[in-house]
Amino acid sequence: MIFKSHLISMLIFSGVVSTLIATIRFDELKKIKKEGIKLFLYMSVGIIVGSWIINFL
Amino acid sequence: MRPYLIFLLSWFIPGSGHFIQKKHTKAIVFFSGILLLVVLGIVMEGKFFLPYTETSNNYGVVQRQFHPLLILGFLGDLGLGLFNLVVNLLGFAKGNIESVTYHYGTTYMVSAGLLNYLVALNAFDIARRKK
Repeated sequence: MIFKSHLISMLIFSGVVSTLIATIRFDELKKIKKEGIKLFLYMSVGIIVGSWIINFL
Repeated sequence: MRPYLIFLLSWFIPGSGHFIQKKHTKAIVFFSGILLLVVLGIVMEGKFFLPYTETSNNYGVVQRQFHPLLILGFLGDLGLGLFNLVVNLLGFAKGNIESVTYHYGTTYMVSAGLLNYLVALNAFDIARRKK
């Protein structure tokens, strides 16, 4: 069994998915990198903040 | 090649629609990214969705009950094309609900299928623009 940590599983998932979506959307490497990093940050930070809020419910 | 054929080819083998349209780097990224998600999903002991649940009554008769959410998950997994076929034939992705990573593994695989639909649609769009 790998990735017992949910955080690492989520970060790897975000990394791969944001890379694929950025590659679908753009052709230039520079734009792909920018979009990929932006999506990765949106997903990761969104999930961390969301889980932190759920923690209080 | 016709856009619809490219869509089908790209659905069946992830990235192939881009490869035959000479977008080799993108094809490699799509193929390896989707393969990576599937392999991680299997290693995490996730499972492919079935469109139904099976229950057996007191007489041991097995009944199948279809559920809309399971059908959606099944359609998502179907997006993997050849990978879905190979994984099913090899008997992987049966899932182990006791595993900590079971839900993550299942999500990895269904997301890979959904992403492959997007990849195939992108290949279709590129082919249609060229025509």
